[in-house]
Amino acid sequence: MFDLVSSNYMIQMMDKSMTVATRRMTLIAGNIANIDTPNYQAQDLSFEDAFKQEMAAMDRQFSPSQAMPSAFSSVAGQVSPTGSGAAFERNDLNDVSLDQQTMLLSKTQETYQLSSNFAQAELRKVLGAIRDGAK
Amino acid sequence: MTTFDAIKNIAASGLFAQRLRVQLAASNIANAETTRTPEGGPYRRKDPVFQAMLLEETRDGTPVTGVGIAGIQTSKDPFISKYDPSHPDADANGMVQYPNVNPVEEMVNLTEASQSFQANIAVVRAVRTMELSAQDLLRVQ
Repeated sequence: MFDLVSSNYMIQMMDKSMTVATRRMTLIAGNIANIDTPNYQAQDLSFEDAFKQEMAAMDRQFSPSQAMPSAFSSVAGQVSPTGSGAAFERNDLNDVSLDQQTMLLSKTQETYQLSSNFAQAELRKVLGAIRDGAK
Repeated sequence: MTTFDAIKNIAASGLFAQRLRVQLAASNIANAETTRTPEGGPYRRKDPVFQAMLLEETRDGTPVTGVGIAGIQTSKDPFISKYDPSHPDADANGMVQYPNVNPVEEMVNLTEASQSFQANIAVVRAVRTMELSAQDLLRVQ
């Protein structure tokens, strides 16, 4: 069945973007909580492999007749140590940098809000279409 | 459990750990001159030992890593001895053993703990803003 909301390309994309932001937030919160834990390595999501796979899949699908590539099929980023290199200034082998994590924190929050606003705008459009049709 | 709750649990574990650290620093400073304890001998400096703790895993496999308390370490550093023959706890040579607490070290500890505490508070604030913007999606008019 054609669903006006969940088959909307924009809303699908924003849904995934918000999911990723929440996952990343979980890791940032863990990093900040462990800021004084000896031997702790900062974690973040890495998308290099996932992005390469998606791009390869798009290249295969993309043809001149099909102008719009399909939405990203997954948001499977890998959880991996960031290796930020902040460990040299401390002697407990912990490489969490507070500045870096705070910056990432506000960036992730902004991303989430932006995606949420985009999704809201898209939902408004759908609602507008329904209202105009009812007239 | 929603992921937002998981993030709040992580921040809560960080807040708890830092609060415990401040509590121990306070008791170290308060007891910097204490020469008698229930265990006998002068007070020994106490310090928390933190360890990364996996609280749970979300449905998509993201580890929810909070911080846990592995234990409270009692310092084995030598006591500071001062010459004070009139003190009731002085030994035969008139030396009194005072706790191995360095007030300067404790002050640095306090500052660091309060900053880490605030960093965890910042996480809670950020999550709250995210939750509000997700709730805004329900208000499409």
